Amino acid sequence: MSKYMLVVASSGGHLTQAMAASRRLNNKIVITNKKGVAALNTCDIEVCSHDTTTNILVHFKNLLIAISVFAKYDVTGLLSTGGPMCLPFIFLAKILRKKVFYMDTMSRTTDLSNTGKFVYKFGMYDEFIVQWPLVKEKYEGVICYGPIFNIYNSRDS
Amino acid sequence: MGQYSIFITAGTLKIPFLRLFDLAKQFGESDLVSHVVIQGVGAEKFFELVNGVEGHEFIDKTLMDSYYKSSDFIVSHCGVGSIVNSVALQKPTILIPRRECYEEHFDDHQMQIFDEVKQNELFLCCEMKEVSLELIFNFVGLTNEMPTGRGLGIVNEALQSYVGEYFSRIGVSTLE
Repeated sequence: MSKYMLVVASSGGHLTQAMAASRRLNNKIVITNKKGVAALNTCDIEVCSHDTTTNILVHFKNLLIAISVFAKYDVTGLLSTGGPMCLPFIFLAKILRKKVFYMDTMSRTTDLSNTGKFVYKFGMYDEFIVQWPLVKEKYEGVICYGPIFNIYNSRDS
Repeated sequence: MGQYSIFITAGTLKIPFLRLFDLAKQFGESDLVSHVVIQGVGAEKFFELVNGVEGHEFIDKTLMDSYYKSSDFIVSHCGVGSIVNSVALQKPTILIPRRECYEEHFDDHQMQIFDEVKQNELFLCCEMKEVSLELIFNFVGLTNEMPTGRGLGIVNEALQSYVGEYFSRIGVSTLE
């Protein structure tokens, strides 16, 4: 029986990157702050979380969602590309000794995002990927395979 | 009846991008434009009263894909999701960064990816103060003369494999 992985990312570019990175995996529980925005595989499940843009207390509501997801499914690990809404899910995954694979967003080409800095500073990860060489130079122990998307691909290239 | 169908997106961020709304209004008034759709927080209410522009607060993935495909070009904030969609579908795109000084974002990080993507001729990267409809229509005319190209296979397979193998090792099944 396959185990589940969580893919946690805020909607928009963060989620697009997380879905592309995890495209070859099935049995994903995709957690984001909007419904109907993810391109799911056949066995994937979508869970909607709350947006943290305006109210930091929403992290506590998201922690309740995280608790219910971990109680309901046999989760073995978590992939996140950030957005602050991911923090309660990452926090609980670490408490429960699940694997946390954090990939910082490609929109930050020179330094980590604020969420990335927080996750790095408090060691809330088992694997830490950055997408740009300039960022890799600044943080010990992070891995870089380049950006998840080739954005230089123009019509005549 | 104008020739251009335009899709404009301010992304899913819950902060309005009002300068983009003003640009959408200008498109709505242009004789060269047949249809304008704009997506972004506040757009639905704002464009209820503006002729020639269809405003949506939020659009799901299926509808978003269909707007991308049916539009002649895209105007977008400088977000990775929009950039990736444009590269994948090879759509000429005008990218305008959200700026902190106009309270359009928490910081100016959209300038970072803006500087990277400038190298791709599919994009016209400009600050809002530099934008004019004439500049945009000239750019779209030029890109239409470029050979239509690849666009597929833009995902970094080495990174995708690394993620796949990592989770496969801890018990997650992979696609056949």
